[in-house]
Amino acid sequence: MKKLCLVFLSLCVLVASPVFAQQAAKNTGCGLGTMLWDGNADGSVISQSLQATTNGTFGNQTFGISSGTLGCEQPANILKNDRALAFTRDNLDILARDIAFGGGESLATLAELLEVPTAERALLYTRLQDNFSVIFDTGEENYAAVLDRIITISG
Amino acid sequence: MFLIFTKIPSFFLLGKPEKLFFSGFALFLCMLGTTVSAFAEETPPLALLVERARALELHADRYWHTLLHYRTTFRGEASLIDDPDFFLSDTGKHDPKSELEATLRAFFAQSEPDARLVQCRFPARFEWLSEKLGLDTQSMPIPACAELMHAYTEVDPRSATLIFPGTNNNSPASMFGHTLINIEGPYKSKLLSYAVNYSAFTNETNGFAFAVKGIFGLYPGYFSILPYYQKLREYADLERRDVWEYQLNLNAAETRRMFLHIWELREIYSDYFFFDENCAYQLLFLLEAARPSLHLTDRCRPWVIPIDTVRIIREAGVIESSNYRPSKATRIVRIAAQMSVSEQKITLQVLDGSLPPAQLPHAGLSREAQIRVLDLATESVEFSYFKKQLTKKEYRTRYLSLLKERSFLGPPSKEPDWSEPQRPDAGHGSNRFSLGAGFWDNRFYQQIKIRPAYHNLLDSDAGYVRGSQIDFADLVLRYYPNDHKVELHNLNMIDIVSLSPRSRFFKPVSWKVRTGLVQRLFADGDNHLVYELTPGGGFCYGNDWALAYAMADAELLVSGRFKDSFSLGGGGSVGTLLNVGKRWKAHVALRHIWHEVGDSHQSTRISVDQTLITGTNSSVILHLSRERIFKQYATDLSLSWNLFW
Repeated sequence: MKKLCLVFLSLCVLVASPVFAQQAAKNTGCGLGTMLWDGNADGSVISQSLQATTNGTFGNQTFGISSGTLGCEQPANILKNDRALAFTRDNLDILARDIAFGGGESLATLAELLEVPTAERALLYTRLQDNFSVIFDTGEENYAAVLDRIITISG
Repeated sequence: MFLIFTKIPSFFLLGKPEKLFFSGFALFLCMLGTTVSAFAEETPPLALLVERARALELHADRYWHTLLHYRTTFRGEASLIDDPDFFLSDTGKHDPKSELEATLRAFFAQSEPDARLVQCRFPARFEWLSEKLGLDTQSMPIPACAELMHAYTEVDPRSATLIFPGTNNNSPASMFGHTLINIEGPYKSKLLSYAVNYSAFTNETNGFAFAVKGIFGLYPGYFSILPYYQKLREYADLERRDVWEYQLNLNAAETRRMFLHIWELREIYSDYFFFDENCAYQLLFLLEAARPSLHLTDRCRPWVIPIDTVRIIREAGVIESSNYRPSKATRIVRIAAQMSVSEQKITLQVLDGSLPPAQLPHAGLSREAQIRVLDLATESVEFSYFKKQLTKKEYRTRYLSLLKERSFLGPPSKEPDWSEPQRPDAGHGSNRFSLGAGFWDNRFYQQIKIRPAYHNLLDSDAGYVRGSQIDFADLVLRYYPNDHKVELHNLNMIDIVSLSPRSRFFKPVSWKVRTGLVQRLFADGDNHLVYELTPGGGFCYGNDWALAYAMADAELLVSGRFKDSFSLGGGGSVGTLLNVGKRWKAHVALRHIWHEVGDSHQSTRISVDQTLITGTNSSVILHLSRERIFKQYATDLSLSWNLFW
C-alpha cells in the first residue's frame, strides 16, 4: 500500500512539476525565510524586550489547532498528509539545515510524520543529504514541492 | 474577535488514517459518554438537580472553584477571569453558587440545541457536574460537539510538559522567565505537541505605554494553544532564551481533563497583571483542573514569579524529569567554544563574504573543522536574519550556499557540549532576607534587608544567568545604636544590570539602570536621603571566571538639600566581577560622576564586595566601599548574612 502510494506520488510529482514551477514563480512568499517571522513582531530590540515583558503575543492567533496549510497555495492533491505538509511549511528553514547536516530533530519529526521506520531513517538522512541541492535548488521552492522531492528521494 | 479555527482541513495521515482518527474519536466519545437518547425524559427535573447540588454544597467544592478560577481576596470571593462570556450567571464572577445554579439551568433546563451549545462550550463543567449529581453519563445526550471534537482529535491529549523559557540576560524583562504547558499527543517528537500559553494580547508599539499598561492590567490576557515549534522559535531563536522542559506525570485522563478545561478558556480574557495574574499563576489552575488533588494556587505569594511556580509544581511531586534546549545564541557560543581562534576567524571571513563557502575546502581545514565553521556560520546567518540585518534575498543566498557546502561533508561532526547547566528551579529562591552589621564613617550600625525579587550580581549564579541582575523593591533599614536612630538607608525600586560579554560573534551592549531612594553623603559630612535615577551603558568582555566592564553613566539626584533641589551629571564606571570556584564571588567597581547641572559637585566611589556562598539558599557578603562626595569622605564596611526562600 505504502509503495503504491509512493509510486503514485512520484508520478504526480513528475506530472505536476511544471505546475509547481509556475506556482513558485508567482508564490515568492513560500520559500526559505518566509515562516521564520510568522506570528512575531519585528525583530527590533524594543519589541523583543516588550514581548518578553508581558510575554505578549502580537497579532491575534489564539487557538491554532489546525494543520491547515494556509499562507501558501495548497499542492495539487499530491499528498493527503496535512500534518506533514503543515510541518514542512512552518519549518522549512530548519528542515533545510537538518537535511544538509544529515540529521536533526526537525528532520526526525518529519520522518515520524511520514511514518518512516526508525531503522530506515539513517539511510534516508544520508540520501537526503546527498540530494540537498536537488531538494533546495533556488531556496524559493514551495514547501509542497520540497516535501514532494523529499518523498520522491525517500522512495 | 479572535480567529478560532483557521480552516478545518480533512485530516488524514498517510498509512493508518482511519485507525488513528477513529480510535481518538471513539475514545473521546466513550469518555464523554455518548449515546444519543431522549433528552428530557432521562434528565431529572432542574429543581431536583439544584436541590442535590445544594445538599452536596457543590458550589463550595474546591474543584468548582478551580474550574471557575475563584480566589478569595480581601474583597471577598472573585474569579480571576474578567470576561462576562465565561459566566452563565450575571453575578457569576463573584458568586460561585449563583454561577453553579445558572450552569445547571443552562445544561439541563432549556431546549436541546441550546443546552448542547453550552455543554459543548463548557465540557469540563458539564462532566464534573454530571458526575457529582450522579447523572447516568451513559444515557446523557452529549451533543456531538463538532469544533471540540476536531480540536480533540487533532491534539489527542495524552501527556503534558511544563515549559520554562529562561532568561536572556540582555533583556532583563525576560529575567523572570515564563511558563507554558505543552500537551503531547501520540507522537514521539516533542515538536509536534501543542503549547498552551497565557499571555497579554496587544499591538502596542509604544514601549512606555506597554510597560505601564502591562503592569496595571490594562491588557487582556488570553489563553492560546499553538504548535510548540512555533513557540520554540519565538523563545529559543528570537528571544535567545534557553528552554527547560519539565515532563509532568499527568496521565491520559488527567491530561484530557486539562484539555477540556483549556477549551472552556478559549477566547476568554482576563486582565493581565505582570506581577500576579500572569502566565505562571493562570497555568496553575490548569494543573489543578487536571488533578483535583493538587493545591497549587493557594501556595502562591501575592506576587508570582514563573520560576517560583516551577518550584511549587516540583514540590507537589508533579515533575518527573527535565530536558534542556539551548537557545540559538547559546548554540553559537557553545559551537564557538570548541573552535580554535583560526577556525573562528575563518568563520568570520565566511560570514563577511570574503571567503565564499565554496572555497572553504581549500582553506586548509580538516573535514571536522569545516563542519564546525559551516555549523557556526549557518547559525549566525539565521541569527542575523532574525535580527533583520539581512534581507530575505541575502539570507536565502547565504543560507543555501552554506548548507550546500555542508551537505557535501557527510555525517555530523562531534556534537558540541549541549550539557544542561544548573536547572533554574534549583537556583536560590527569589526572596532574600538579610541581617548585617557594620561601620559607616566609624559609626556602628545593624542592618536588615528585604528584597522580594529576584537576583543580584553578588548572589550565586547557579540556575541564573551570570552577569544579570534584577532587584525589585530592595529595602535596607539601618539602626545606629549610639544615636538611637533607625534610618531608611536604601529603597531601590528597580536595580537592573545586564553584563553581556562581547565576542567575535556577539556584540551586545551592556547596560544598567537603577532608581529609588538612597542615603547619600552631603557637604555637612552626614548622610541624607535622596531620590536617584542612574542609567548607564557600555561594553563587557569576559571568560568563565571574570567579567570586566566599562560603562558611561548618567546620574540624576533629587533632594531639597541640593541647590535648586537637584543635581544632574555624567561620568563613567569600570568594574570586574569575579567567580573564583563555586563558592566565592567578588565585585570590584570604580565610579566617578561630574555633576554639572543643578548642584554642581563631583563624586567618586570605589567598592569591593565579596560573597561566600554557603548553600543554595544562603550566603555571606563582605562589603567595603569608600566614597568622596562634596569633598567629604566616608567609608562603609559591613558583613551580612543572606537567606533566600
